[in-house]
Amino acid sequence: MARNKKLPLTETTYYVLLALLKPAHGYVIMQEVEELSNGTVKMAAGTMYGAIENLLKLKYIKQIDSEDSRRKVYTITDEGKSILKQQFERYEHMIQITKARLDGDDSE
Amino acid sequence: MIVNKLKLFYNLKKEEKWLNEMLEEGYILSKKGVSYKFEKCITKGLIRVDFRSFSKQKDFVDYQLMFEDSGWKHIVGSKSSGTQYFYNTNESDTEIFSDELSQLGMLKRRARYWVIFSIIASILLTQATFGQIFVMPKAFYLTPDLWSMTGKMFWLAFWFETPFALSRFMMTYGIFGTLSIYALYAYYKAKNAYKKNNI
Repeated sequence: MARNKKLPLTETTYYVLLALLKPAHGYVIMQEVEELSNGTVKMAAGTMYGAIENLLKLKYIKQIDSEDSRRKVYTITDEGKSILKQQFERYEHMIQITKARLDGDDSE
Repeated sequence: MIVNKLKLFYNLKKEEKWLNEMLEEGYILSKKGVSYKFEKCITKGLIRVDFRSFSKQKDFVDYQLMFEDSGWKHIVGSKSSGTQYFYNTNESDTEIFSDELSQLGMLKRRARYWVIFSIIASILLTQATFGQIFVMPKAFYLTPDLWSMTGKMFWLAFWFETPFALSRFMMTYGIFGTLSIYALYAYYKAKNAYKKNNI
């Protein structure tokens, strides 16, 4: 696959996409991201709203019908899942070779 | 009791600072039109400002709810007012933007709005003054036969007169002309700041 110019994803984007593997509305996404990141990524409302707009534009997420008529609910798209997986594979590789290098160092 | 204050802020931080100083004194912003209106408020808190406008009322409601869910009550602003004022009584919540990029995005939206506003105002002003909606910039250069000159002579004369032409432009259009130029400058500054941060 050709090297994707959209990578690397920012940490915030990564966590939002991860959270939206399950449909949710704005505030729930904010809570999910905080929980998934162990409290390291805390998004404020203004930032969340902007992030949702950007991800909609990139077509990584989409709005779906919801029971709550006043709050918009979003979910990840296939394209979003694809980019998430690509970033994940990148991270996996980085972890692997880092471990190899650091372990190699330790054993000397 | 309602307090009414007439102030003009271009700098957002200064506006926020002033609104929070009023809040410290016990007055919370209740309406903003041309002037700022305040009501008595005994609860301490923090006011922050966002800039966003909406075409549909339900988009606006969804936006307000996202803030409300996270503790920020929408106190002043409408679907198309652009400026949106939020209030939070929770001491530990101090920002509505958790990263610089989204803050810059807000400033960019705001700058873009001012460009559109001042261009429209200038067009209306030109129409009212000259009877047509656009006057050629050439009209502000008074050097006789400037436009029939060529080469180095032309550029020398042109650049020499440009500051004068510019000031004539500003005197004709007065406040809106200056605002338009400044608004465009501010917009490009905001756009570049956003671009640089959007790595």
